[in-house]
Amino acid sequence: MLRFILRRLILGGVVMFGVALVTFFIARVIPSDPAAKWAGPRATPEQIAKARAELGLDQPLIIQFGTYLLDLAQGNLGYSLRTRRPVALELAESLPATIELVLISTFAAVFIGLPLGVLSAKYKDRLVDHLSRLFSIGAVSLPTFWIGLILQLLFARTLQWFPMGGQLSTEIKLTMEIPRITGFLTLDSLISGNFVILLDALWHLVLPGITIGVYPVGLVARMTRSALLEILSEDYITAARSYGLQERVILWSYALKNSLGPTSTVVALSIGYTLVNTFLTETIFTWPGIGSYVATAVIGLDYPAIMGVTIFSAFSYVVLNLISDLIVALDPRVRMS
Amino acid sequence: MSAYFEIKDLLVGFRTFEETRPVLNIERLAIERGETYGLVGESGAGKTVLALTILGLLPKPAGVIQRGEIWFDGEDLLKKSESELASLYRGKRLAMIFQDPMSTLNPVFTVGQQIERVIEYHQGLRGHSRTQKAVELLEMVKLADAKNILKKYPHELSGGQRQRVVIAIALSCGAEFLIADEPTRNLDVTIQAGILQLIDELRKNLRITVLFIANNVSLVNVFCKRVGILYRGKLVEEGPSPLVIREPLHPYTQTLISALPRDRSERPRFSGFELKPEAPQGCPFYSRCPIGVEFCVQQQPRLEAVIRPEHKAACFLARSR
Repeated sequence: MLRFILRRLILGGVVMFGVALVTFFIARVIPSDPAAKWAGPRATPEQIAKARAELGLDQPLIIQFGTYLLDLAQGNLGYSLRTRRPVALELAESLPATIELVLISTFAAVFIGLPLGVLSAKYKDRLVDHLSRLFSIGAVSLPTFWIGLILQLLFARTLQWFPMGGQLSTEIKLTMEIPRITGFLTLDSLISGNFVILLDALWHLVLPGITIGVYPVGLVARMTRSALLEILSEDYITAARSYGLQERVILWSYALKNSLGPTSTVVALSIGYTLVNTFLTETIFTWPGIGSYVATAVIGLDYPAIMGVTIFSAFSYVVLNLISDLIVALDPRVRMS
Repeated sequence: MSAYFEIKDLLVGFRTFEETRPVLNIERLAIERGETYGLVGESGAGKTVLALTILGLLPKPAGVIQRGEIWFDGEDLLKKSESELASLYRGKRLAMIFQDPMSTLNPVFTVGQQIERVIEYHQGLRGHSRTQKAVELLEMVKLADAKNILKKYPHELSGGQRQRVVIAIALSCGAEFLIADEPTRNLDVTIQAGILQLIDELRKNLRITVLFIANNVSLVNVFCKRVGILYRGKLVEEGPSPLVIREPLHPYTQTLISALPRDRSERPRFSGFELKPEAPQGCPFYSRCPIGVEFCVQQQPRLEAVIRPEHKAACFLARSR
């Protein structure tokens, strides 16, 4: 088991190195002069040259890359060209808002998608199954930004049930003190017992939460259904029935445990996918997370910020894959080999 | 008054897109309490379908019971609801051993978890007494080091060990009627004998009735009192096993038995089937029958006593020879 984890860790390291390499060189071929940006709009050539030296851009590429890797290893993602603040710090500030969205969608995937898949498998070719499959196909094939725009148009603009965007209402932002403990708005307002803020925050979470959650819910439902159907036709399920075990036990314990391998892989990967999906959703709903951060960075060609977000996304993917591999390795058959 | 176990006029079909195709059509099959009845037939004859029908586990919605009765100890199983079957019959009174011990144990639970779940469900035992019961069961099926085996996953056991575990689970809650569906089919020959011996011993010790399904006549001859030959979902011959083996009446049984090697010096003879067109209105065996005549195409033969009252065959030509 330890060797298995070690192998996966090394593999993850290799992937991260590749991502660092690619992002680094892409940043160098972008037709924009970071030194000029750093020095400011009306800088003299001397000032730009000085900025270049400051940023280490006058060094040979290989040295620059080495310095970059060293910085990365220490968790230093460089400085934003726009705000001149450390990218790592800015990421850390915008991360909680994004994680709130990702967590909501993951909860939905597990607590809505999984049961939906199980029901679909249980009532195969019946009405429940048809509806759930219709939903799944729609959820997986409709683009996230489209769902976001439609929801916004319908529920925020026309019906006005939910706000257009943002994390909090303007009145609350201006009139109340926003608690900052963990950085997670809902959690902080819950801890500090400020239910007005909590309700407002939840109210703002609904539309972006649905937008981001639809895809993983559909995906997990589909995967669970097909994995479960395959398992339900296995001999040991018929055998379990012949022992007189109840259908409920057979479905939710005997069969489901066998299908958790593929399902957990899908959940883990969909978290990664969701993270990237937040970029569009956050832009639509002006959600102050990583997505909005990177959107601003892209428009301003703030390449350290772009690289930082890329590295972070890749890192999340690697970690999530590692986790899903570990879950799969809990299967006794995999564990042995 | 029906026998301890009796199938009456059973018709089971499988639905296809066009029609419901009959796969099992048994006029009467009766088994006495404590008897071992051997059911022999080639693959696809409907043996497993019969086993699943008895337990109410026919795959749905494809499988349909079109008519018939299955009497077990005075009750018609086909009239029972799914929950009655599950809680009162399956595991408790009726049990089944499947063909492939490699695939009948759940790979992600330990042997102990699988046995103990069934014990807990049917007998309400918990904790230490539940484990104790599981150990006793494994010892009953002659597995050495039972405590250790409880902690193992199925893939850590050999085929023979797994089949013993399956038997232990099947009989864990005092079933009195055991359906053994080719229990030695996927085992090595050396292991087969041990499993067969075990089933026979358990039958005697636990006083259970066994419906033994096989695709090999010689297996059945050893410890089944009576044998039925199933061909394309129909019983074509039935009788005391020594008699059926010595003087087979139906041409299908004759080909089955002539395919067996009689002693070591003799090579197994196989009279290849001469293929004739199917006879949808007539005898199901007509297309492969070496002696079939024109009359066989027109009418279906019924299972009837020939020569001796206990030895029956469904063949028009059986009587004439």
